[in-house]
This record gives sequence, structure tokens and C-alpha cells, in this order.
Amino acid sequence: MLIGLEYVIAAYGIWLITFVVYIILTKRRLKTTSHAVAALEERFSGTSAATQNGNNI
Amino acid sequence: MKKIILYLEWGSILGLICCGLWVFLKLPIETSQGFPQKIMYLHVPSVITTYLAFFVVFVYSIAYLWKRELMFDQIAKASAEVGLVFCALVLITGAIWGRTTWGTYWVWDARLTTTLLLFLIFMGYFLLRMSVNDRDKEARLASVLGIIGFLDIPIIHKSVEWWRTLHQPSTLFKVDSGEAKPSMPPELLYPLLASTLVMLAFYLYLLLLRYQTEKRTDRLNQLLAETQV
Repeated sequence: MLIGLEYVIAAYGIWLITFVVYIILTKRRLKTTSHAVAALEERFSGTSAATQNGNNI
Repeated sequence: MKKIILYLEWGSILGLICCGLWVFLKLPIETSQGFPQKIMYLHVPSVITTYLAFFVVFVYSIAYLWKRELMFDQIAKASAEVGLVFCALVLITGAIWGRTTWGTYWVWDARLTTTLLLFLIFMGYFLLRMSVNDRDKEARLASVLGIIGFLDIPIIHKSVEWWRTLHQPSTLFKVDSGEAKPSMPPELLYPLLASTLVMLAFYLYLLLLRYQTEKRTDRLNQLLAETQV
């Protein structure tokens, strides 16, 4: 049995888990904001097109 | 940009796995510290990455105050967040390594205390950002704090020379009669350098990912403000 194995596992384990969670959360946040931005931009372009059509009529 | 992020993501993850295999399967167990010395290959590269992350904050904060480009503040904010995660891991892995070598998780030693101070300064950096509503004011104040916060890093680095501490002196290189020489044998130094390079690539990946998020968040806030008008 290696002496101090539990400390090495703890250090590497904490490091790994931290970044796995951090990457998952950041990617999820990126996806959510990207969807929200796309939806709002679509709504804006739809509104401006409708306004333009209204002006033309 | 998406492709670069993807290459960096898989390249750095693959690199981290290879370094892990090298450290655990190929390297001999160091004689004085034993198996816990393997923590060095995680702790020291994390320290260097923390320094780099906050250096990026320093540079981009100056750039923002000078040019007032929102992009510079977005990069500074992204780097500060990644740096803060690395800094927390430096404190945790250092405490675990300290338990095996010094027999205690924490001492109010100059190196440890100044590193904790750095962590707290950048926690304050985010609290400051959260407490200000105006985007420009937030960026301005955070830039000033980012510049001040970085000034702690030279103090951390020199603390082992300026004060009597438990912490060991510089791990990678030591200056001997005006010349920087490696402070460990090559079979321990090369995997450490490789781990450091891979971790820097990993930092770059996280920075770009976080920057993308920051850019989109600002765009979202801008669009929401427009809908309210």
C-alpha cells in the first residue's frame, strides 16, 4: 500500500471534479444565453419587418 | 473561433490524461516525500496558471481603462473567473500537500496568507461587479480592482525570500550566482514542464469558452434593455 495515497487521490479528485462541474455549468450557461439572444434577435427582426410592412401599406 | 475552442478542449484534455499517465505510471516515487510528491504536478502548474490568468486581468484592465472597449473588460472578467477557480484549487491542493509534508493543512505562513489574500481580492472583484448596475461603471471599478489585485502576485512570489516561511523556495528554477538553474533533476522537471504547458492550454480553452459566454450575456442584456425601451 502506498503511503499518502488518499491525499493524492483527494487532490487530483477535487481538481478533476471542480473542472468537470465548471465546464458543464459554463457550457450550459453559454447554450441558454445563445438561445435567448437568438430568440430575441428573431423577435426584433420580426417586429421591424412587420413595422416596415405596416408603413408600406 | 468555435473550431479553435474545440481543438483546445480536446487537445488539453488529451494532454492532461497523457501527463497523468506519465506522472503515475512512468515516474519513480520521489525518495524524501514519497508518493504525495505527485501532488506537485497538479499544484505547481495550477500556481503558474493562476499567475497568468491574473496577469491577463491586469493587462486587459489597463487596456479597458485606456481604450474603453467592452471586449477588453469581457476578457478581463472571463480570465478573473478562471483564475479564481485555479486559485481556489491552488489553496486546496497546497493544503493537502502541506498536510503530508508539514503535518498541517494550514499555517499563517507568508506564502499561504498572501495567496489567500489574492483569492479574497478576486472574490471582492466579483462582489463589486455584482453590486454595480451600470455596465460602464462596473467595468471601470472592476478594472481598477483587477490592477490592484494583480500587484499581490509579485509579493506572493517573493514572500519565500522576504519572510521566514514554511513554504519551500521556488520549485522550478533557483538563482545560483546570478544564473537560473533547475532546482530538480530532469526526470522530475520535464513532466512538470509538460504539465504546466498542458494546463496553460487548458486555461486558454476555459478563457475562450468563458469569453464567449460573457459576450453573449452582454448582448442579451443589451437586447433586453432595447425591449424595455
